[in-house]
Amino acid sequence: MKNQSILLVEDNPDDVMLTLRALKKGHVINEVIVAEDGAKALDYLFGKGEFEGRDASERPKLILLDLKLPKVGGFEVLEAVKKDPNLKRIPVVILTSSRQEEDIVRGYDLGANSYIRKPVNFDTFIETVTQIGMYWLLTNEAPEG
Amino acid sequence: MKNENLILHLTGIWIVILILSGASVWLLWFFDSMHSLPLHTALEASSSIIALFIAFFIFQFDNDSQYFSRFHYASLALIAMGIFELFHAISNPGSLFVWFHTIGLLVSSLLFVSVLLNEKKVSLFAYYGVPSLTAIGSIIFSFFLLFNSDYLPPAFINGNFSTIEIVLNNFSALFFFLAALAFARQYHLQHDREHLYFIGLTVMLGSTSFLFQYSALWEPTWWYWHFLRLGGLFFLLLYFIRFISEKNRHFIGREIESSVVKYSADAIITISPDGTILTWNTSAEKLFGYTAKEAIGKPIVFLYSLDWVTEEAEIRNRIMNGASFQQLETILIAKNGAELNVSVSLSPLKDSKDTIIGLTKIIRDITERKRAEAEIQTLNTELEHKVMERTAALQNAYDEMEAFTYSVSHDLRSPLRATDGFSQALLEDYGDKLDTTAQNYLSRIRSASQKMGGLIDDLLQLSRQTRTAMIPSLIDLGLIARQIISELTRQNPERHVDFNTISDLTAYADPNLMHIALDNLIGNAWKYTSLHKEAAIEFGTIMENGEKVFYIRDNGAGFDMAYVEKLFKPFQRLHTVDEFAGNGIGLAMVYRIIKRHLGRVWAQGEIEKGSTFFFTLGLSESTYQHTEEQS
Repeated sequence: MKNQSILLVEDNPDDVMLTLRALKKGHVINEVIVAEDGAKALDYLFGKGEFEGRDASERPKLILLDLKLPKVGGFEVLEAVKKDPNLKRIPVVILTSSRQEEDIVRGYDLGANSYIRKPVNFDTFIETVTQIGMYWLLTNEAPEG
Repeated sequence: MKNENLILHLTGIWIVILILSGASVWLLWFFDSMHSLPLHTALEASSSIIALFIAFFIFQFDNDSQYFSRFHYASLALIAMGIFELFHAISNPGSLFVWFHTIGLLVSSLLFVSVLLNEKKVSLFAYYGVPSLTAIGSIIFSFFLLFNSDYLPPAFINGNFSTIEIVLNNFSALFFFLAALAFARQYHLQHDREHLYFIGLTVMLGSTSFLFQYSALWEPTWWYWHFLRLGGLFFLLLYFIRFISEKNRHFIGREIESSVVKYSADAIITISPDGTILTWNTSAEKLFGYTAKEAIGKPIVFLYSLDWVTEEAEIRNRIMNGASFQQLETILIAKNGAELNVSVSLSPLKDSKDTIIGLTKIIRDITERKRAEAEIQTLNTELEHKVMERTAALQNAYDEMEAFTYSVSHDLRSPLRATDGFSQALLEDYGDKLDTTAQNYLSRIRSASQKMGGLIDDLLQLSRQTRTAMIPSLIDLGLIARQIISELTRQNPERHVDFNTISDLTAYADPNLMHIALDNLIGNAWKYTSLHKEAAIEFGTIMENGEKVFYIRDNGAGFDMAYVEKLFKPFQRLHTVDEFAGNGIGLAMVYRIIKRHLGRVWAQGEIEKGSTFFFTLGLSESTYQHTEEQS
């Protein structure tokens, strides 16, 4: 299935593992591409660096974005995505530990589609991730291409 | 009295004298006493004595300055007249009798013309010598006449005054009128009122001399000018007595004035229009170090620093051109070269005719004040600097706390999530390989992680309360309380709580923060009455020492007053989680919110009899503005 992948931008391997597990538990079967930092995420999206030659027109269906990232931060990734005419329509869900008011405001200002705080309780986490997958991949109508 | 009014006044008095003299003549005629020699003697003696008295007064009371004024010259005339008339008075009616009178008036009128001479300061010898000489000369001449009367031409021819008598009397009249003109001219120049009296006197004396030719012994006209002269002299005497008392007052006033200037703590200097120092008081000597002798006569500019010379000249011009008063602060140079910070008041110096004849400068040393001002300035700057330092330190602490909170919020929760998540993964994926004890342990790990996550969230919430901006307004706390109660009722429909609000619950406070505080207080009341069948919560106010105190009272579990101090500390609990759920953050939050409203919060309780929480709110619209400016 083309264009049905999920880009997970997350530096903490524990969180990567738990998110993947939660997606699996929530029966989200889409391919998940993991970028460990913001730079790698941007390389993937624009087909540069280690992703040189990748067909950039194959865009992920959803981006799950952590904010505290090494190299290029989450907000910079968000800004680059929302400024790019080809990428700006991809839904970006901020998935982070922080619940700082200023982060939430800045996220929405830069065009984030959703802001989710990762709960400590894993059961709740699974529930949350399932809801995200269900909503953005199934319920929500995305434009073609 | 104004001089114009005085002229009218004097004219009036002279007219009265003319009339009274006429009336006196009429009385003599009426009582048939026209030939009374004793009356004539008394009249002439009185005139003489009065004339001598006036002369005496003038010399006696003006002797301090040894200044020979027009009035001193006039006094000489009065002395001569007095002495000759005295001889006239004691002579038997006859030729000599008339001659004494004629010569007396002639000498007197000639001396009156001496008022045309310059006024000048004379030696003490001359001051007393000239009048003494006049008196002695008059006496010797009178005695000479007394013993050599045979040489005199006859005063009468056929019962009428001889031609020589008439001619000499007319000369006297002429001289008296000349003197009157001289006084009138001086009055015109100086406007000193004394001149008016002397004009009157000389005109009157001139008139008597003029009337002489139309009179004969014991005749009404003859008597008339006698009375006229006595009246005039008598009036002048009265004037001089008054003048002298005024002069004394003036003199005392001048003494006081000069004493004030002399002993003033301020330096008082007078200068002429061109800037020459005229007077220099004791304080000026002390302040600048120059003695009066050194300073007087010098140009004032020697006190100035160079850059002030032109400025001062400008101020001086302004005053000379009619500005009334100028005050300024400047630096003047003392004799020892020291720069003095002074405040200078300049005012015009005027003579008795309001003409500006110079400037008065009152100079006050403000070096000490300036030094104190500078010190205050320095202290203020230091204080400002300190405030800035402290503010920076506070900002630093605040920023650090921000960073800490952020890292708590973000970084501390990730490991907890991993702990919980992987424990769950273990339970799910390997649960069949673990016995119940191992599974129980994993469950405990999960619950501990979750609890810690909760604590972190509470901590963050607590710190957020104190950091969010306050936007206070006038709000009804009762309304907020009822909203909270209806929400609690919705959540626990099985509970029956009797909730009442009493009295006016409006307050000037931040609605969001007060919502959180009341949520906790009412929430607690709700929670701790849960085991009581007839739960009641009351929200009201009482007045205590003029202060509005809010209270929330319940009839629930209550608490032991021994632990009251622990109530408002974070994470302190008086009940176990099993009894009542909670994390011990609620009242700590209430405490902080009330503190931010400059209020106090306290509690009373008794186990199983309920608790009452009291709080005050110290904000008002005006105090709020004030505290905002400070923070």
